Formats: sequence, structure tokens, C-alpha cells
Amino acid sequence: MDELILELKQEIIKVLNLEGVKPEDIDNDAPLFGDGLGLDSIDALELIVLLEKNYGIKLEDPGKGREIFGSINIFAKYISDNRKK
Amino acid sequence: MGLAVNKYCFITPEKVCINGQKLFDLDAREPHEKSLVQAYRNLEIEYPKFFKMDNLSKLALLASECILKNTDLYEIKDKGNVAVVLSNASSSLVTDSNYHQTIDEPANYFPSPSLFVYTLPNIAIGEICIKHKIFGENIFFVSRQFDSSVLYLYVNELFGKTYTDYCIAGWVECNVKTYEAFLFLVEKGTNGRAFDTMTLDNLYKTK
Repeated sequence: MDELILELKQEIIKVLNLEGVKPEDIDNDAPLFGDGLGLDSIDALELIVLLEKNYGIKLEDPGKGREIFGSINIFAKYISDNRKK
Repeated sequence: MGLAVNKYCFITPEKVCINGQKLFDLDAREPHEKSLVQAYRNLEIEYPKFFKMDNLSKLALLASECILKNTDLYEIKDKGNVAVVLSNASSSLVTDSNYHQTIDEPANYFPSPSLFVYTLPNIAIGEICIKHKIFGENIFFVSRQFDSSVLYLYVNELFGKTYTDYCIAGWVECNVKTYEAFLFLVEKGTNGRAFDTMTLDNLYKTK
């Protein structure tokens, strides 16, 4: 799981162009949206695309993103449980 | 009513200039993304959203920063009397093309939301307005080359018929080969260069 968490952080930084943010700066338990990384609704859509592109997970209900993107730990567990590639 | 141009700037892959004075050089051999980031750092801007923008919006934002910094306008919180009138030749074609690549192959069909939002040139105006809290009139013209007549006529009209007291106007071109921003600030008054097509053409020639 640690490997997936690191990979996920690196992908998020790359895909969302989080300039100056390093994987170690992202708290595994902190919410991805809100104060922490300052992500917005377009970032949420980009994460949904990332889920499908990298892990073959098609999120039928975009509203579910609120739960999945609760933290890196939650996000990684969801991927680990549902990934198709 | 007299209108004047007291501040203007150029940004090219080679340099950033304000009012005819070179602020710093850029490395034209670098990819556009890198030289625009270099300009951002040299201008000491703190705005993380910059890194999420496409090159056209980055260029427009940098030029607006050059125009507004060190003016009284920069600190005013609610700029309802400031208009933004931009123009270019290539619209948002570079980003349109980048976005198209994300939907071109059926087997690799992953439309990018963050690219899609920049597939209109007037988004660059939106980014300027968000950063500087500008709520005035705005429009983006697409023409083959810098057209002083179009800008002059439209901006003049804005001052005559709307609540416009200031207008950030000019040319923000970004294509696969190069980029170029020429922005100027038009304001009421007779001090400084008269706002007319001759002034605009002469200033544009100094790039």
C-alpha cells in the first residue's frame, strides 16, 4: 500500500500541476479538498479521469468523489480494492 | 474626453519590458512553458493557480501584472470600473490542439477537464479578472495581426458609453512557434501619450 500511496501522490502532483509540492508534503490523512492542497472542482474532474486512465476505475457517480477523495489513505484503499489494471 | 496611455509592456520569449525599459532577459531557447515560469519567478508573483493555466492565460496574466503593479489600481479591491480588451491571431489554438489529442484515439479517450477549460481565448481575460478582482467590461478579438483600429474604436466606445475609467488592452498571441504580449493601460486624462491608433502602432513597433 505504501508504494501505491507514493505513486498516487506523485501522479496527483503531476496531473494537477501542484508546483512546489513534494509527496512528503501531502498528509495521508488530510482531506484532499478544502484548505490542504487548495484543489478545486476542475481538479476533482481531473482525478476522476486519472482513476479511469491509470487504474481502469470508471466512477459512474461523480458525487462519490467526495467520499473517495477524503484523504490519500482513503483514495489509495479505494483504488486497491477496485483497480482493474 | 481625453484618453491617455501611460503604461505599456511587452513580453516575448527574449525579454520582458515595461514602458520601453527592459526588466529582464528570458532564454528564447527554452520551451514556452519554462520561459513563462521564469518570467513569473522574476516578477516575484505568488499565485499557485498560475501553474494550472495554459500558456495563453499565463502570458496574459504576466502582462497584466506588469501593467498593474506599482499603480494605484493594484491595491484597489473592487475594480468595477476597469475593462479588459484583448486580441490575438491564434485564439486558443495551441490548447485546442492539446485537448484534441486527449480525445483523438478511441482506445485512449480521456478528455482532460483542465485542458478543456482553456479552450477559449477569453478565459485568459477571466484569469486576469480573477487575479485582480476586475469586474468591468471585457471582450477578446481575434484578428490576423495587431489591429490598432479595432482596439482604439472599441476601447474609446467603452469609455464613452460605460462606467469604464481604466482599460487594460492589447495583444496576447501564443502559438506553437512563439508568443508575444503587448498590453497597455488606457485611462482618462491628457497627461502622457494620447490614446490613438498612431500611438498604439508606434508603441507596437518598439517591441
